Amino acid sequence: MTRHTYLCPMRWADMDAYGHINNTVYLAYLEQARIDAFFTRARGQGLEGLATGIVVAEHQIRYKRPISFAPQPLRIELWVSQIRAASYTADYEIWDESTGTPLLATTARSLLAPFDMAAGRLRRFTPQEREFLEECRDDD
Amino acid sequence: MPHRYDVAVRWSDEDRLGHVNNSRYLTFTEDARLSWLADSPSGNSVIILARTEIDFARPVHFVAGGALVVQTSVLSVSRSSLRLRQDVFHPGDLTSDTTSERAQAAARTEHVLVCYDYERQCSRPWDEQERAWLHRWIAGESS
Repeated sequence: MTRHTYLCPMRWADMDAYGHINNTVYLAYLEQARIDAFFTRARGQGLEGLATGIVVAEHQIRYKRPISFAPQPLRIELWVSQIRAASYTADYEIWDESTGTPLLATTARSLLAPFDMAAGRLRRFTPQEREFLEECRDDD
Repeated sequence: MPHRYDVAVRWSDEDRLGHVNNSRYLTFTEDARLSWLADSPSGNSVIILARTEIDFARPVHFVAGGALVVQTSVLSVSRSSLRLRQDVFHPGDLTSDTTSERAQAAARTEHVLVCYDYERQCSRPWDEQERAWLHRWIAGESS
């Protein structure tokens, strides 16, 4: 399968006094990419737990180049790199295309886990959920 | 015709109570203002916000792939300030009848913006080019 691409609009207020997108805001960008990739598609296949029952266990973000606010959205590529019984790993690249030449601004990785909201505890993926996640791997 | 700007609502804009939080609306209208001013003679770096009023009429939820629309128009222009109206809509609530349309807005906002010299840290009067450009956006005046 292939990576998911999400065009992420920035907000002027995402910048801080240095004139760059603040490091904490990137988490909102990664989150929106995950929501764009999973919410509608997972729901459409009846996998509500993948849409609304996932929590973040860990984030890593490598800030390679600063990003300044521009009307042009960032291009976020997202794929699944590892699937375990009770967690999966999402990998991301954030590309800045505001100058016309695509520049890799950021790489990131998240560890995500299915959570039973009603019971208030972590759970395991169902076979159908694992199958869905398998389709999100990057085989390129 | 008012200026139109499309806002991408983020999942994190919704708060614990399941509605887009009130504080986010200032960011939506701010980005709409910056887009509107980008084509003005002096760009968007000569303005400072002096006052804001917001009426929250209808709650807004995050919808994946969904967006809001901000319509911006000028109410009046003074020597060194202006009054701005910015209404926030669900796209489906925009109609061709602008007189009744305002009633459908999710939020209605009005702002006072001052012409500001950030280097000298003080206000200044609009110049003739800026004034003429702003007048084109007065609601009800022909452009």
